[in-house]
Amino acid sequence: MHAALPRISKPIVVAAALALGALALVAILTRFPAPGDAKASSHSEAPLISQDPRADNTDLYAFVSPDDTNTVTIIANYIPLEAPASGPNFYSFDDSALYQIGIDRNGDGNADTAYQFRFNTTTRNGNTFLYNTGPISSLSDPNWNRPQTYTVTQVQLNKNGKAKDAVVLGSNIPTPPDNIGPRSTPNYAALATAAVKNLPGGLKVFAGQRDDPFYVDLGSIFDLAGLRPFNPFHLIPLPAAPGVDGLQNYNTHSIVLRVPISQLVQAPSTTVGIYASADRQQKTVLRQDGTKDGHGPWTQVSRLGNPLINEVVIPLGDKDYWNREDPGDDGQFAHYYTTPEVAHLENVLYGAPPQGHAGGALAPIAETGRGDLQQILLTGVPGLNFTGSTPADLLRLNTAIKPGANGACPGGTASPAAPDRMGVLAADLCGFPNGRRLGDDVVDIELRAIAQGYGTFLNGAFGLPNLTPNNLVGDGVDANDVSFSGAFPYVATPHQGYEVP
Amino acid sequence: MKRLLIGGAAAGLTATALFLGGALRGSPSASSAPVARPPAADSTAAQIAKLQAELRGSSDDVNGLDALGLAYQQRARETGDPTYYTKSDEVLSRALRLAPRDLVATSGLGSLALSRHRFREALALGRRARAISPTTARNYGVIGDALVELGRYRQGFQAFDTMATLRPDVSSYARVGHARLLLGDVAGARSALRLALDASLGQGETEAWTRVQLSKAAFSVGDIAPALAQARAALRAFPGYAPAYDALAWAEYGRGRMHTAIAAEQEAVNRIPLPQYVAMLGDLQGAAGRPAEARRQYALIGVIQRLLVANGVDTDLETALFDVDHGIRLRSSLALARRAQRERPSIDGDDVLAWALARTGHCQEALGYSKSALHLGTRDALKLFHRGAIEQCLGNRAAARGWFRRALALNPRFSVLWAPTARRELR
Repeated sequence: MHAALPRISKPIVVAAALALGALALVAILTRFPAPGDAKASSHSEAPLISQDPRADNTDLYAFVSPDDTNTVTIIANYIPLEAPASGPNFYSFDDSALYQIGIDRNGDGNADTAYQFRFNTTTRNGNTFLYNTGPISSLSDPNWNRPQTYTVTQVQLNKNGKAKDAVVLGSNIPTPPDNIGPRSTPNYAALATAAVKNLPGGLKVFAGQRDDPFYVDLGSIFDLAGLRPFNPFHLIPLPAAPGVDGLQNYNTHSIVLRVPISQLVQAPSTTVGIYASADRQQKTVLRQDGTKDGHGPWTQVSRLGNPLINEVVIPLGDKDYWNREDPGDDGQFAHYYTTPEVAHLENVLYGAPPQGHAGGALAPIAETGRGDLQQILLTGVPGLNFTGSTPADLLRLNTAIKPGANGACPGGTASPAAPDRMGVLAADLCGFPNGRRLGDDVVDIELRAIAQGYGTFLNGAFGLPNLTPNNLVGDGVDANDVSFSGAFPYVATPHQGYEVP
Repeated sequence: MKRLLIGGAAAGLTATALFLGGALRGSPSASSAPVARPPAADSTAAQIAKLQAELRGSSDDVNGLDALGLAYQQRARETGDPTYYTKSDEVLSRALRLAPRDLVATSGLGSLALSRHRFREALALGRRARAISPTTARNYGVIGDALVELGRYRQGFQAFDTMATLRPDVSSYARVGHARLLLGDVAGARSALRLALDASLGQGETEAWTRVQLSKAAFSVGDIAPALAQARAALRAFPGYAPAYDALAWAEYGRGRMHTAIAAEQEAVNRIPLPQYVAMLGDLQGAAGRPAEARRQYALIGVIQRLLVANGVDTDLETALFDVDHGIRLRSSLALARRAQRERPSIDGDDVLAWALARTGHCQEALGYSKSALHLGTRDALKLFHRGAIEQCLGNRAAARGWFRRALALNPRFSVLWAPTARRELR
């Protein structure tokens, strides 16, 4: 696939299509309902290609709380593409899964402390399968038939990832119901607010349904990596058009945790590495003790540090393995960062000759030796959020860089009027890849980073390349469909089933 | 066009439910429309049309071919139409010619071979997929499923354990559950299937499939109330789901509601005329004193099986069991059962052959196969009954009564055709 490209156009389309491996199949295999296996007879055909949305960690955000700059807010999202009108079943966290936010304070790439979340769903009325039998006016309303609560436990982890010193920070914490409609959940904001709880040690927590803050032009990107504003320069050109947010009107489930900075960093460092994950219990055919199903060991089935790594960087055949591994062992995947498939793809689809095609526009992008990407995504950038030489997919946040009340960095060269969606690329050091705010446009940031169009700020400050017009690449979707809240839990109210059928 | 979906699958929903729980959204085809799906992926048919259109632009797009091949298999699962197997075979084979080491095409052809009961072929493909990616869990699913159907249980269960180590999820939990059922560990199977259920909630067909397995596991030990509840819940999760109607029919039969059972099995047959659904419908009608209707069902089965065979599905074992059960072409069905058992030397292959041998008077030879069919300790009342019939044929009356008693103790209504026989023999 990385061999020199033939000049005739059809094989190039084929090469491009092959290069799309990760992207197109992610669309089929993870973002959308899974094709299963046919069932023709008595042979018990269990599904082979299954999604696992309830254990699918889709996004992770971490930022210094703009309204309380002594704390960091961490948001881990699970369950992609929740359709607001999903009755009669609705969405919830999985009682059988272990959700976790890992904190690396010492730069060894592994979590040394973790916040664990376990959920428990009860049925208030066994005589109905309905989610609710009338309006839900409070979290304890008997009309709400299937309330879910959770326990937060903080554990210390040793070098091998074994948990010790578990401290329960809170139990029986309520989640709000899903946002159904004006009859079932008439005062949704109040229900959500009632689910915000303080925990000992100055922590604050919320878990429940929210608007999916991620925004991306899914429809175009999964159509041969199309970027609508750049349509005329694509190998298969189309008229330019504005981007379309493919996640508009979709919800997700968020775990939102606010932690005092003093509990996240280890002096003299001011930078913390964070990742989120979901584990499921391993089971064996023969039951270990012969009688009871004890708790099988937890096995990580999804993890997330930086956005889109699983989707864009890790090839299909390694996905199960990558998801199981701890970030501290990410050195074994470093070659996927230094020779990124997407760099090749950008050259083929949008590049000018010789790498690209006659109608292409992008300056040639290096497809190998991309130490810049390894640094940004696996070790952090020296002078900004470097955590040491151990490569690990962690979201790195330098907590000494404080935002103003609006989330933007007042001291930088960027306008302090508002956070810049391009984050550090636009000199707004409070944004991605220094942590990640809800509004950061990680798709455009990563596309430009891969295309070596880092912008003038990073070119000047760190000597990173700033190719033109590569520094303008983007999917044309620049903001979420709804605005975020200025206060905890920040993520927007979920779309209502009644309004978004 | 959005519309209310009332009747059929939604029959269980009362007007109150519709009022309080919100109307179900459905696409025009009620039988294939999952609720709770994002609009972009509402139907497999739409997905297939989109992929076909994209492939007209570049027919050498391996990933497009992969996706289409898997979508065809999903469509076969939804409609029971085996011509989709042939289509899936074509596009996945084409993908593999373009990219010989393509993981999805290789394992996709493996799962297709499983669907067509070509288990040796499936095993070879599963192993090829494992060579391409030894850490991808589903490759071990293909390998394990094939090994289990080939009667190589120890290796098959190892593959399932590896699968569940690499990735605990609905697919691997379901396999652990299936293996535990084979080993007679029904409680353990149900506990693994409950984990599978948690991991599948909200995923339409997958959730419904898992609930059907829970329903069947409960039914197998005569636990009728949960069998009924899970079948109904499966229909709520994926309205119109034929396997759920079939499970519902068994549960209704299990509590003696013959007419409700017939209605449910008729719903299953209307959606997907699988031979075993049609046979069950005929058996129920026969037992309810409607022999003419039963005969009409039985006459259909030959036609359906020919359609399956024409699309590459090996149906020997199922055909042999049906023929032996119904006393049709006994001599040739014994030959068929022998061939089927050679292709599928599993406890099911052994059991069907034992039954065919017994029904044609070869009871000594039948005993050996029956012992083999029960060697895992599977708590399958029908296999226990077959053993009783063989012992009776050999003149071992006490032993025969013991097996009949065990079958009925497990589930007093284990079979429409044979539970009454077992009861009669004990009188």
